[in-house]
Amino acid sequence: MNAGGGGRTAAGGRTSQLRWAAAFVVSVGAAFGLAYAAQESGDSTTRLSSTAGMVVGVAGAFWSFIFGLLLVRFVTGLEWAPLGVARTTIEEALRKKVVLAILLLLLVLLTGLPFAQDESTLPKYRVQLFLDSGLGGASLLLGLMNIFLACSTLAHELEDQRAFVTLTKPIGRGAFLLGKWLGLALLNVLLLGVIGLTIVGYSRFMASLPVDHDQESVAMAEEVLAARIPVEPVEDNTEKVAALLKQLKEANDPSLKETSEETLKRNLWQRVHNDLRSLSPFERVGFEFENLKPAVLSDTTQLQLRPEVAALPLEGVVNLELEVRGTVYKLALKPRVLQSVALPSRVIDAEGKLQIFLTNRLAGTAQFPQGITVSFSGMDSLQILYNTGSFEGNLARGLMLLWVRASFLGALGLCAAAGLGFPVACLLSLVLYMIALISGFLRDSITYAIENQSEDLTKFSKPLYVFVRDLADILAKYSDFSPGPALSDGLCIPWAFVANGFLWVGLIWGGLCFLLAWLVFSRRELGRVQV
Amino acid sequence: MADAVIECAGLTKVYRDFWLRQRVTALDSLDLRVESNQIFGLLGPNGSGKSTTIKLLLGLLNPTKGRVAVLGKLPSDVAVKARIGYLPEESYLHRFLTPRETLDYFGRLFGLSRDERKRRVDMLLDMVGLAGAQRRAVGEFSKGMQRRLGLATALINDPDLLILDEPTSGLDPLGSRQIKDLILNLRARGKTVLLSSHLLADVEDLCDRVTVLYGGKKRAEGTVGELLRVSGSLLIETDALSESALAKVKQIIEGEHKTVHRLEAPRKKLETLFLEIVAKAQAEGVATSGAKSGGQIAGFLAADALPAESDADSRGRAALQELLKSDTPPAPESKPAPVEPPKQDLGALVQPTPAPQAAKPAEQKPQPDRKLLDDLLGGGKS
Repeated sequence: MNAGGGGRTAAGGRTSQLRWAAAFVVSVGAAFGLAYAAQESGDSTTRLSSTAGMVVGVAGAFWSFIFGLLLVRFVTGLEWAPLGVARTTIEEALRKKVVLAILLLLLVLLTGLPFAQDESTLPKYRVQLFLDSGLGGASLLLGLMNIFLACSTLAHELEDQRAFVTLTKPIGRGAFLLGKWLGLALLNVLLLGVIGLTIVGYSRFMASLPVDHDQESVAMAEEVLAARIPVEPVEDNTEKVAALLKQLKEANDPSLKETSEETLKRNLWQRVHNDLRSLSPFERVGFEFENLKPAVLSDTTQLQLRPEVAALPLEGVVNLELEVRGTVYKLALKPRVLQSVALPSRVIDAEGKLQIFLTNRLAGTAQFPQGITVSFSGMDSLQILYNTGSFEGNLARGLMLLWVRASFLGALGLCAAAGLGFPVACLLSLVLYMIALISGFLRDSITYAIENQSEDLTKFSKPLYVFVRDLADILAKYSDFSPGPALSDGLCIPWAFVANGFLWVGLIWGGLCFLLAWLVFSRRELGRVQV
Repeated sequence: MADAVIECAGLTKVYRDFWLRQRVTALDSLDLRVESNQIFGLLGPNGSGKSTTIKLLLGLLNPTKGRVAVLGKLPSDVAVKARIGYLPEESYLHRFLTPRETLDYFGRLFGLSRDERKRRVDMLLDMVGLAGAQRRAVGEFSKGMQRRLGLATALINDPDLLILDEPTSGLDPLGSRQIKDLILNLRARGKTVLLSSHLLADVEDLCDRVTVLYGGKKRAEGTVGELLRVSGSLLIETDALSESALAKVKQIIEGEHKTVHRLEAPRKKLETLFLEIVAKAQAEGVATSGAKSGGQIAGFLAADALPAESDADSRGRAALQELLKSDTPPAPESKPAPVEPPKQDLGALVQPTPAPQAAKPAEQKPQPDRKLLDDLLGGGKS
């Protein structure tokens, strides 16, 4: 019987391997064939090109998932008991219909988005939308999957009493929980790896498509598929704020009684900032940027401007003069829209400093015959951006942040399921997830209300506002470390930011969840008394 | 006195509800001592506290009062679990895994090396008759097949203490017989088995010592022989006798001023008949998609897998030799149960064709697995 059984197993294994190899050859061959036909047709806008792109993407994503899974299986095959639990958790996850549905949604999202956009949109914005929606959607789906899987794998193992067998084997409850979390974390690595490859593939594919003007390609390469560091103009307002405050005190201004000194200082700082960033009609203002030494290494840097001109309609033109090292450039900008001007990196001096002058050349109108003031006081309205690395490296750092966020949700789900049944644990985790998602916005809103409407707040409501703000601030660590917006704007995600995210979301929050899970689970009676 | 493998003193488990109100006393001051190399039976009706005792021994429940030690350690001690095998009352297995993946998973939890796992998994799958179904998901299995796999998972670590909760539940007579043989084999190797069962015949066949629970309390404890001994009665089993010989026997007995209460032709046990039919079908090569009858005991569990023979082994070996010699049931003292003897007409029982087959007494007993016994005795290993 032994020999017969072994023979059948070996034969079955070989058949299965052959089947997989045939599927690989056929699908990859079909994808390459379609891609070749599309290239031969020479027109990037044909349906054939779109179909070929999608098929290549689906085949690439599928096979990278399969090969990644083999790698994960190899890692979880190592001789360590928690890795055994991790492997079973992954196998269980891959057999759940909900997980398969989420994986399918991810595939449709990432391979469909590049081809579901209006062709009249500029290529740069198409890639930006792909990155923004792709990463946002992937983050949301991964979050939901982690919560569902974490709650399900632990709560169901306890409910259907499989844990009776597992936990009577020589594995501690902490190691068991660790194994469950490792399974989820490795699944996240696998999925984020596939997501990363798909995003890189499609972004580069979209960037390689022919464009109407060369500037579009340059804009895509330097503003989207980039890792730029923004630098704000140097601005030391402390002395000016102190002087203004002194003036108010000497004049015994009534605002001193109505507002707290802290709020007053903040308001004065904003006033000084607005003054410094405003260009009166025909005024010439200098701005200095420092710490630009790394920018010398790249060919170009970008000056990013968003002129705020309340008196002009959106379709109006903001005429400015930009003077850099004696050279004057005439700029015609759109109001309230972020625009970039490429500057050669040689304009930065040896100390990494750059001084620019902006002159307001906006002609007067019938309504404003004296001319119109242009302001750059808004956040990121006036910045120098320089490239510091590749898009792929930046994306990898962004994916690391997505991983730590998703794996934290896994720990949260395990924590809830360590003491609660599946539906309650899942609901609780989802509520906390939603709160964490909006907590950044909640914190900023309440902070604004406290700072700007403090006079309207009663002595009872103010402490409540402060409490909710502080609570939101704690939970906002999750939303603070979202990489999507930075990646779609081509902004660098520094390693320090990633490390900070790992510290707060992974080590502190994830660690707390895991500790709580262990405390509850190690004291929990798994068996039920049945009499 | 032999070492205690399980020791409970004043073990009490009170079930409380969500509001911590006392609801049920599942176990009440239980004192229990199971010595090594014993097959120990836990008997009792439903809700008597058998499963609660087992869960307390495995650390799945915490005692409300009292002390419990398994292999000299607390049940929560992770290291001690490496020496325990547990077969729960129901098959709690991952439905999506195949039997091979299931056994490999549990083997990893015991820290077995890859090669050792593969060796043991192959042998165990063969032993429990699931080698042909090793690529199917466990969720597709019948209850009996899941039970067989559950048994294999309990044995993957070659445990020193095997805890079996209703081990024959859901199994066909073939599987039941195999489990019984296995339990005897384990004892022969010096292992200890704690057996909880509703099937009194199982317990009677196998157990050295029995505790009877009711309402969470111990009502009786002793060896099977002590508990079942019926004084003042004698059973003689012999080859078929002629009517005249029978009359002489009756005369002798009456001469001793004793009464013959029951005289009947022996019948086969249904289990024996079943085993014979299956053995015949297998010999004819009849196909089946279910579990095959198990193979021989896995090599690493067989008696000759031990490097040296211990006292316990020699005792087990002697018991098995005795078993082979006498062809009596394997239990040490298998006296008939004290049932009311039916009054039957003596003449009717001595007709020329009293039994379906002229079976000898030895053929009427469940046949011990000859291969297993050969293995255990170190003889006919194929």
